Amino acid sequence: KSDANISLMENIVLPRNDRQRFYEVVQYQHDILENFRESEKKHRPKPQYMRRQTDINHSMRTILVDWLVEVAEEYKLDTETLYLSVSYLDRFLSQMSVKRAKLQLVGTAAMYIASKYEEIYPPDVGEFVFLTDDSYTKAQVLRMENVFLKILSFNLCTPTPYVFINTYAVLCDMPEKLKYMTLYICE
Amino acid sequence: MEHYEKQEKIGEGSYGVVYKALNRLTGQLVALKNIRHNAGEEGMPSTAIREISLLKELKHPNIVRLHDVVMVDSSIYLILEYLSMDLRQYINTLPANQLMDPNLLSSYLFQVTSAILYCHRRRVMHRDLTPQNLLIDQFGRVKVADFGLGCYFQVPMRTLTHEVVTLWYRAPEILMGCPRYACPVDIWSIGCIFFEMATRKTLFQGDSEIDQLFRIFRMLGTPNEDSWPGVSALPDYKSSFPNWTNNKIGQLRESLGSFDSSVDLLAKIIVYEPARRLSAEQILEHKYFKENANILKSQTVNKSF
Repeated sequence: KSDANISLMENIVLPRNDRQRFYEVVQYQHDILENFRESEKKHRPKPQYMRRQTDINHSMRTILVDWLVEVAEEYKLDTETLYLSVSYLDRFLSQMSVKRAKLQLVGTAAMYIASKYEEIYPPDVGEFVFLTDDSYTKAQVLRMENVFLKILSFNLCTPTPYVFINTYAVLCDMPEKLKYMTLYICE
Repeated sequence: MEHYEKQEKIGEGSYGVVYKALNRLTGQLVALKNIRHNAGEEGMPSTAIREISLLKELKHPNIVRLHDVVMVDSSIYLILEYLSMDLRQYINTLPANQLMDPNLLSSYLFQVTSAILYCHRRRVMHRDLTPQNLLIDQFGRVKVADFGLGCYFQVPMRTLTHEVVTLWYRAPEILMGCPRYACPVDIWSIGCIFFEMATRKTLFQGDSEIDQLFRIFRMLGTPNEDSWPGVSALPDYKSSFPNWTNNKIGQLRESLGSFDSSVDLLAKIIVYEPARRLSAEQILEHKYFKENANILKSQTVNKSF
């Protein structure tokens, strides 16, 4: 995402086939990208947040993220929902110290909020409770949702690596194969 | 919350009640939007999550400002900028045979379109533009409100819900069940509102989805592969649609009055194929505003976006 890349892209003249490219909203791509970069600066997780956590560590986060991937597949959630969940999770953990036993609850709330934000038909809270094998109650998930929204102070419109890749792909009219390869590496 | 003094109920939004209130600390009037979220089983409604997170990012002179969000127990209050009236109320208060002042009209159109351009550049669609959602003040300012149906769009666009936009202002691609739609749905609504400001009449006043479509057909002619490439592949397209052949949009000249350019502008907005509809950017550059340029100079519109 270096600046050199950006200025390079700005010089590329796009092959115009408006009808084909219509859903890519080409005309506003540069503005959109610029706003992504602004917004990314404002809301990002702290790079070393795990050092400050006393009860959890990187491998626990990895297990949690793997679980979120499974949930997303199970409920056929959009890729963006998954990326958002992980981004919310990291931002939450940058600010709050979390006990091991509550980590999955935090992850669940992250995904619950992300699906409400992103999906047309988000899974309901009961389904999320079911997925945690009833480790937590509905009330706990809802309370965590509240805490979560307070901590992130509703700043949920944040760009994820996924939208960056999609935007770059549109800007340089990237072939599908290359785009999927990029997405694969990103995951 | 204690320093806000509730005054009167001013409306009921898609979820929850809106009150006019006084901030005792600053003496400022605000609109309080109250969402009771734990009443339901599902926690915070997704409309509230979207509206708050969108409004936090949108700061434009023609978009209602979100001052603060206060969470108290099972309620959440949005503290919003207060404006005394919406466009629908304003049009209704005009004396029976009087139309809106053309200068004010073009200024409103310019301001609303600027706000929507600002949104589209931030990949936000409003998806529910109606005269009720445009608030006005006594200084000629108009502000877009109620982003409860607004959403961030992804690129490329993916499937989106069809439960959007009040029927009269709903674009034909949504009515035809097109699984993906984009910014032009807001533009269609702007076109309808433009006509309504100019004539006090609703352009397409349907009472059901099919009636809404047929009213559009009667005005623009039933769409076919020439007027809207790809239309016959849309989910709700029927080859048995009655066939209206004339495009009558040019005949609106009389009702639009004043400028020829307003008919031209309308005819370029009320277009079937979303890709050929003017964009917000192109509307602002349309000669309609150049003819009204002298008027716009006096308006307080932020042109730097």
